[in-house]
Amino acid sequence: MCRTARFTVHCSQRKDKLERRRFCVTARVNLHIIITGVHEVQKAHFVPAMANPLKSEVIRLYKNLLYLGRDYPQGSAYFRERLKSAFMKNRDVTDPEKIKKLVARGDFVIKELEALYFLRKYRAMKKRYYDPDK
Amino acid sequence: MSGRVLVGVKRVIDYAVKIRVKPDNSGVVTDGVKHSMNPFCEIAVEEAVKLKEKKLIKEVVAVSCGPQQAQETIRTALAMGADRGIHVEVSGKDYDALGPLQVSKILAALAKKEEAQLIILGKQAIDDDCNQTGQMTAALLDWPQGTFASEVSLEGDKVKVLREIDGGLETIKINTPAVVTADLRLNTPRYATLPNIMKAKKKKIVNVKPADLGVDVTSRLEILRVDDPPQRQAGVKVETVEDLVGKLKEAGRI
Repeated sequence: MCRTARFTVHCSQRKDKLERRRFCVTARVNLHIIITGVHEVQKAHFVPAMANPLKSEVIRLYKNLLYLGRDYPQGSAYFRERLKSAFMKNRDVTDPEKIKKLVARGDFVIKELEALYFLRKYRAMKKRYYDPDK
Repeated sequence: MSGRVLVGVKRVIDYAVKIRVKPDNSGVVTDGVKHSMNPFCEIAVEEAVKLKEKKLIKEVVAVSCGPQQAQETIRTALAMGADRGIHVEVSGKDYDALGPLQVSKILAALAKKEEAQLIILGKQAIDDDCNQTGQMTAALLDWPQGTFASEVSLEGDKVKVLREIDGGLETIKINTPAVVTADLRLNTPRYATLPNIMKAKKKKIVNVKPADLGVDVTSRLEILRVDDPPQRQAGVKVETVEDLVGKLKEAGRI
C-alpha cells in the first residue's frame, strides 16, 4: 500500500512537471506568434530529449571539449563561455545528417586544439632551452 | 630480454605558469599552482609507447617519485599508453630535498627489481633544470647511456641513438640494458584525452616507499637562496641620429 501511495505521489509530481512544461511551451508559442505573427513552432522543443540517438555523441563531444578547455591559453572560463554559446547556437538542429556534420566539426576542433597545445609547449621549450640562432 | 621499459615522469609546475619566488627566498610558491607532467618526460613516455606499438618491447612502466599528487602525473602517463605505474611515495621534508641523486638511486633500485631492459627519461625537468638524473642512473647501474636522444631505434639487443650535441648530431650504438634521455625533437607527444584518462583509471599503480627499495633519500645539499632572475633594464629613446651615435659611443659599441 505504501508503495502505491508513493507511486501516486511520484505520478502527481510528474504531472505537475509536465504541466509546467506545457505552460512553458505555450508561452513560447504565444511569444512566437507575437513576434512573427505566424502560428508555427520549431519542432525541437517538442521532441523528447531521450529520443535522439545522437544525444550521447553530442554530450561526449561537449565533455571532451570542456576537458581540453582547461589548458586554453586565455583561461578555461573564456573557453567554456564560447563553447557553450557554440553549442547553444545549434540547439535547434534536428536533422541527424546535420548533427553528424556538426559533431565531425567538433572532432576536428579537438584535433586543432591538441595541435595548438603541442605547438605552444614546443615553442616555449625551444625558446627557453635552445639557441635562437639555429 | 624482459622487454620492459621504465619511464620516469616528474610532476612539475606547469610550463605556462608564471613562477613566483617565496618572500623569504627559500624556494618558489607551489601551493595552489597548476602542476603538470614535465614536457621532456612526456616525450620520454611517447617514445616508450611508440616502441611498444611497434611491438619492439612488451611493457611500459611509468615511475614517479613524490607526494600523493604525483599519482595524477602517473595517470597522465597511463592515459598516454603506459601499461602500469609505480608511485614512489616521498613527501614532506624528504620531497623538498629530493634531488637527482636520490631519484636516480630509486630508479636504479626499481630497474633491478623490475628487470628493465631500457630506462627512458626526459633529459631534464623544467623546474630545477638539473639534467643529471639519467646520467646518474646509468652510472649507478653501470649501464651505457644515450643522452639527448633525437632518434632511438632498437636493433636486436643494441640501441642506436642519434644524439644532439653542440654543433651537430652524433650516432651511437649501445648495448642494452641502457639509459636513454629524451631531447625536445625526439617525437611529438600525444595528448592525454579525457576518454583515455578515464580508461587509465583501470590501470594499476603500485605504491612503494623508498625504504622498501633500500634507498636512503637524505640529501647532502642545502638550498641557501632562491632569487628571481634579473629584471630587464628599460631602454632609452633618442631624438636624433647624433644622439644615437653619441649614446652608442658612450656605451662603447662603436
